[in-house]
Amino acid sequence: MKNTLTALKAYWFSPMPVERLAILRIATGGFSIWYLLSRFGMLQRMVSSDTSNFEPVGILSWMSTPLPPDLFYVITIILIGLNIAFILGWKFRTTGPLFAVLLFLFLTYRNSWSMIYHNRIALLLQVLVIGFAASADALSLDALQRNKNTKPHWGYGWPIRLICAATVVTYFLAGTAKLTGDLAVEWATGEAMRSQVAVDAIRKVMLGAPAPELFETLYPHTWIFFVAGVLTLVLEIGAPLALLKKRYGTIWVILTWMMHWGIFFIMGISFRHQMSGIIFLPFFETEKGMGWIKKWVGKLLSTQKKLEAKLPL
Amino acid sequence: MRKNKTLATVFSTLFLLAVFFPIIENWKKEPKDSFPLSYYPMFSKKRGTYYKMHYIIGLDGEGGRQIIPYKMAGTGGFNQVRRQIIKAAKSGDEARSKLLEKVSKRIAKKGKGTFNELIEIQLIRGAINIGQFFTGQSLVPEKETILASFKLEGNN
Repeated sequence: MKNTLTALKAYWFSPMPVERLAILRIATGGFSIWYLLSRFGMLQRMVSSDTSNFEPVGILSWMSTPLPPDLFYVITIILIGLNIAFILGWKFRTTGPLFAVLLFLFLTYRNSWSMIYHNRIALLLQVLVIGFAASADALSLDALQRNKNTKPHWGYGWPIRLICAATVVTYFLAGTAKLTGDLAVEWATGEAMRSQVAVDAIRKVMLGAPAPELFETLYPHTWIFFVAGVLTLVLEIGAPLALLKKRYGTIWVILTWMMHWGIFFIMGISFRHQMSGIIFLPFFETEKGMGWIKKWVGKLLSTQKKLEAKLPL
Repeated sequence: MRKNKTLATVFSTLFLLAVFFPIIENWKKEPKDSFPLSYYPMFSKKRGTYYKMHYIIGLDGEGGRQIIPYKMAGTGGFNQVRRQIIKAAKSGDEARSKLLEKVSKRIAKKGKGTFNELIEIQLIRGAINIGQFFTGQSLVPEKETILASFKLEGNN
């Protein structure tokens, strides 16, 4: 028992480069600001629509009436401002937690209008961890102003470990719901999964949304849905294995990422946070990518200088 | 917490427990989903031969029918508006009429175009045979119940 705890502690608090968490802060912040800006108009219309659609969830369950639309507008603007500070890493000790908490309340409110968007949960979990960790000690305005520690440290490691663990737990929960639901193991048979996807396609046809064309082509081939069903269950229930070894993590990420693209092509549902790969960034040594980019840019610049020197004036 | 291992351990443990906690919903008689602590119930419901759903159609003077796109019925994403339609359909005559009135206003706003020939819109509950639907045997639901209808002005 003692050995297990020691091993777990060593794993959880293993030192990681400061840049890894900083890159994650910028990528996650970049995604959330894209979301806020691209949905700005729709969100303002939504909170001004029929109040009977307001069904508060989670921490906002106590609310009996929605916020005045003007107040929601102001909150959205403040949130965008904090999001920018989050990306830039400006006064992060204050703006990081503030952005995380306000985004938590904002997304809970947004999901209180008759529909829960599960694909936003992972984004929020990432922001909640990054916001409360020392995520702006590099690649930030704070780091420029102060002489921050740039050596690998456990303080930059545990948030990454936590995000990875929370991510695999969410997939595990999705798999558990399938196994304990009405369909249980039948879910993995081709027929059961095909009917799930068919219902989604029927909804789209009957409500005038673009129906995924690929589904109609695949519909007669039950075996495709059998393979997809089994693979989905394995990836979801087996998600925690991704934490055991780096190689397992890489394989799981690639297959899960492909699963989301498969869902997009067959069902026309786009899980942008997942399809973009941002949800999976914590599983990789992203700072190495930054090193390659630096080297590549350096090479490009030196080649350009050499060419310029050779050219006659 | 940034540089304190005990605080980081407490935060990590509570965070993971909170994310994992909704798993108990799977064994409740009436499970309830929430945000952001969800048990991710999507795609876990058993589907029969027929799928029952609510939708809005438009009728022209010659008996032709046309699907009214979800965007005319509410604000938000596809599934969000779908749920708004279900809620109105299940909330009684007043909510149903209110929904169709809203749709008629949006149709009128659009002016001439796709919906020019429509004289009436209807809120329908239909049962669709899943197998037949995708083998092209039946693109029209087998059973339909008209829950509410609304005459469009100026399109007669």
